[in-house]
Amino acid sequence: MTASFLAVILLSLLLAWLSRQGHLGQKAEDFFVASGQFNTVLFFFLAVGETYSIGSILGYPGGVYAGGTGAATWFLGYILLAFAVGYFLNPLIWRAGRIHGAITLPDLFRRHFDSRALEVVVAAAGLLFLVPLGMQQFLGLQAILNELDWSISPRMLMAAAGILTFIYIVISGIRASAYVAVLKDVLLILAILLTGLVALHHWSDGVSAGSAQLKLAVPTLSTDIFSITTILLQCVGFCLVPQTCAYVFTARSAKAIRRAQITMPLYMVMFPFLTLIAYYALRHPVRLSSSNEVFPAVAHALLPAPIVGLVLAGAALSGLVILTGICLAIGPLVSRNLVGGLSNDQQRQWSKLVMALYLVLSIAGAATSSQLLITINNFFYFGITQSLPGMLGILFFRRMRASAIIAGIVAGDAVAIALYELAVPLYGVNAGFVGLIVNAVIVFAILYLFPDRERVPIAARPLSVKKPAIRMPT
Amino acid sequence: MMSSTARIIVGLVVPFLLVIPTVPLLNHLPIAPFGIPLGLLWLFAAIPLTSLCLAICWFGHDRDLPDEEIVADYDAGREP
Repeated sequence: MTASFLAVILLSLLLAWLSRQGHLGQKAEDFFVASGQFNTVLFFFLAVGETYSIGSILGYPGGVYAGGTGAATWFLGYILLAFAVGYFLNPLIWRAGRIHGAITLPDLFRRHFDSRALEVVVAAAGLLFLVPLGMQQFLGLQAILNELDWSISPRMLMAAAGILTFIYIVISGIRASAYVAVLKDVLLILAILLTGLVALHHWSDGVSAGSAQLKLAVPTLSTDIFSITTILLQCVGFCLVPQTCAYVFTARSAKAIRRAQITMPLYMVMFPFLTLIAYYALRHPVRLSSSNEVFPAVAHALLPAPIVGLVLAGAALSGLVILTGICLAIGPLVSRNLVGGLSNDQQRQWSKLVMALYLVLSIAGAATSSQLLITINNFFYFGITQSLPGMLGILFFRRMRASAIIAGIVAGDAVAIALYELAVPLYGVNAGFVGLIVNAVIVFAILYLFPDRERVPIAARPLSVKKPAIRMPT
Repeated sequence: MMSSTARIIVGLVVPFLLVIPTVPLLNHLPIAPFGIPLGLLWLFAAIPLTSLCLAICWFGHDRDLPDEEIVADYDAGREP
């Protein structure tokens, strides 16, 4: 098991090394967004790799095992609809990124609205809500590495994972992340399908006495409202996540993005199998120290050791790929958007320092927390989605004010966090959704009452298409 | 070629209708084949259906759009 696990990790390092071929001496834009050169295939693998975090792979079956199918509705619903929204929105965000020379989401806001203050607010809000995600990945990695039964302390294992992440990044930034994502995406889907199919094969064997059924949530109006508002908030918020913007900017063309978006939902075939795995764990005596260990524990119980090593490596790589994505999003948010005034080379160097610091802080946070992984997911979207009215301003509206967007983001974040922390009864409405409504009312009220000078929105700009050379008859 | 309105209906409205009113409504039915609620099973079925909707938009409309060539200036306005 250890040998196959380590072989996959070594292979991932080799792939990361291969990714730098022909791209030595990277500039900041190549390091963070591959200079916008990825074709459909690499874009697809990077996007899928950045979508399914270790929180999804462990948190989803863990949530179904511990709490039943109640959370599955909104969790799968928002991911599925995010691909449909992304089919329409991501090509426009890509276009905005190209026109404005953007590496990060705040770059777009700065260039479109010519506002340094707006750039800083969008960057700071992104950072605030990205910080817990790293901790989530390390908590997941800890659960995976526990299954290897190595007699090494969890902190040492997390430190090793942090060092590995940093090595991927240093080798060639987002290019390494994309190449490792190819390995991870293929390995993980095979691992989940295999574990699910073997669980199905052994469905009737060794059923534990008084074996449990999936807890069927009794739907109420309140749970329905929560599902609907959470899906609406998060399916749009997904396209505004700093890592999503970063990988959208890596694409070679809008068509490359659309082609990849068509096939992205199909990767969700892993969720029926993860449900099956959670169900299997309820019916059979599987050794678990926490519900988040359902997937690796079932794999351990059913598969031969070398295969378990591959399964664990696939799951671990999903955490590592996401960590590289978060780091590559956070680095330029600080070095390019918050600090400002740094040269292209300095941005890359400062980012590496920020990323190293972020990894260390995330490991320290993970070592002192054991929150259920899926809950972090909600809090993240409260804040990330608040840049939606501003993004609509960039894409579709002519006279939106930067100050209105700043007021909207600050108010939206404050309302969402206050409602959540004070546990204000909202009859099921997602607190982030209320924050977004407040935000949108502020932004659009100012748009219509005090319109700014006119700017041409991205969707209204003419297409930049090279006309084919006309051959004159000879 | 598919119209822009039809493209929005097929690629956006239909996937939303597959999920947002349908899944919560199906979850209210006391039907759970193999112990899995009908709403969740429907959601699993919506996965390939959503891909199909996007594929229809691609082949019916977007495939024929011209590809843009925009040269990005990543350092504009950022000189130290």
